[in-house]
Amino acid sequence: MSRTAATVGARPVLRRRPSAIVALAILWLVGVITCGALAGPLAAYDPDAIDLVNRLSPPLYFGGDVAHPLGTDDLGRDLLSRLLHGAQLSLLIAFVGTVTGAAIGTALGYLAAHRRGLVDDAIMVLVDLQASMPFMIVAIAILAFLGNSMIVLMVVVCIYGWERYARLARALGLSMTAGGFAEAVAAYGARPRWIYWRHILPNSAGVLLVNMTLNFPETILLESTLSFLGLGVQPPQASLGAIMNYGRDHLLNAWWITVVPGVVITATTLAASILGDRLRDRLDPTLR
Amino acid sequence: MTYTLTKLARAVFTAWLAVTFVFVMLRISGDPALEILGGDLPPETLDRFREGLGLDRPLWAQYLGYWADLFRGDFGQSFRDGREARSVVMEAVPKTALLMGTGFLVAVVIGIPAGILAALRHNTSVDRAVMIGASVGFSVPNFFLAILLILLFAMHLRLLPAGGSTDWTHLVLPAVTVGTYYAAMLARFARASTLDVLGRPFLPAARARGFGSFTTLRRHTLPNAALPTITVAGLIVGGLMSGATVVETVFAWPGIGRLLVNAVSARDLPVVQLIVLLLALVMVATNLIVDLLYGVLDPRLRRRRAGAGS
Repeated sequence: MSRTAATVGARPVLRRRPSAIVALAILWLVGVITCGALAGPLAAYDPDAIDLVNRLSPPLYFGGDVAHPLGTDDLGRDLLSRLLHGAQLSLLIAFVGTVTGAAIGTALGYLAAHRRGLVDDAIMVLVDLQASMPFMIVAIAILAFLGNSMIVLMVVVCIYGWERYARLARALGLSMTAGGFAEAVAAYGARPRWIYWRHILPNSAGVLLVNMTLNFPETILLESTLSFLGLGVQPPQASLGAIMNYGRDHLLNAWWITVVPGVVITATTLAASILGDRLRDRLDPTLR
Repeated sequence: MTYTLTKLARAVFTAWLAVTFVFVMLRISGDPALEILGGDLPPETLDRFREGLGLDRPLWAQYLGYWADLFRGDFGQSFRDGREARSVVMEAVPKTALLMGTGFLVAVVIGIPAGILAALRHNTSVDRAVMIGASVGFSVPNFFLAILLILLFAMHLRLLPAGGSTDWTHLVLPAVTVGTYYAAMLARFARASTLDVLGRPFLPAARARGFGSFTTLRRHTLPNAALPTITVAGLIVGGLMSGATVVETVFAWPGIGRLLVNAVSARDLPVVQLIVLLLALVMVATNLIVDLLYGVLDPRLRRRRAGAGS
């Protein structure tokens, strides 16, 4: 009774969120991912091509022309082409980061559930440690000490959020090994690795997938923020956050360099969290 | 007692892990001699420099020495201007405290009443308006919000300065940037926990016993709704510190967030390590306070404590 009341009370807005908004969110995500994936063929210009004749051209409807629909920066680089390539890099980093974090966390969570004892304690101490520290500071510290290269940035993005999967996977592993089908399979002589891989993982996939959908926008934000601060993706490569960082010096005479990627980041993270919330309501059995 | 001691032990352990993490990171970050002096000098000079820093000693001795330095309050000198890292960082702390305090105050004053109001007017247009506002405030990344505020209020309307920290007008835009996200977050939490409590059976029971709606709100609804809100407080302190890096950098606010970003860009490791240690300590303290407060506020935990202690 109290569970029902709590659930209905806590999430009614999301449950009642009209499907039109969810559809719009999915449409935007599909669009952004398609654009990012096809950035090469879609971009009309080389994102790094300098064209000083057409420098600081404003976007269409703000006095610009069709040749550069989103305008150009102070070197005359086409913002739309840069945006497409930037979105590609941002999405790629966030995708690899989310999947790797999920894999590490899930594996460690299952290990903790299977071994119990000291292994369990050690893993849970790490989980608590990461959960208690603001990750942005940890990320900045790692980038400071190890130098900001693409490899270090990827490591940082990959270890972001693993602790949530570890907690979930451990709880799921524990609840599923205690009696029920896992015990039955074990009685047939299946080895633990087989049980976890073929039986427990498919049964926890829904919950883990929801967490990945919710983690994905946060990973985009982590990379964008670091790049915006000049600590993430370094030139000549450009992610959405890095383009915004570049545009900060030109706010007065070329607002579009910063605002357009900002809109894309905001819309993408918002769409992904709307989708994630909806998926959680559908797939997470604890909320029913 | 056991509850308090467990939490205390955990806090000490976390602090130890944080210091060790920083020590390990410092040691694998490269040779400080090459870092500071450059590689052009004769090897003997570099060796002498390493001796001066104690880098020729075995690792465990360096580790103990590191702890000794920390307890003496010796954090080394800033690579950039040769001043004590401690005074460089301590100068910036009050600035960050002022900005984050003001921003959070804005969030509390707007967010919590808005959330409670939304819950009490559940499923009305008030509720919907608050939740839409909260969703928007929650989703706009702080660096983008900062840029939009600068474009609108500093560049277009010319009402407020875009950066600096000389008088109170400089505080407005960064404080609003910090506050918006937390106002949205607090509104959502305050609404959810108020609704959660409103749905529980003890409220109709209290009302049935003849208490007025204000008394039930004050005596029953709010204390119960406070628990989840306090848990979130720990997350908020962490989030404020992460946010400080962005907001202070955009608005050129001379706090530790901007200092950290600049120190990282300049690879000024003594300043970086001190800020990281300081923030870790703040986090450990915050989490400890939240845990202890939770024990005080939740009678069930208190009873468990009494039971365990006797």
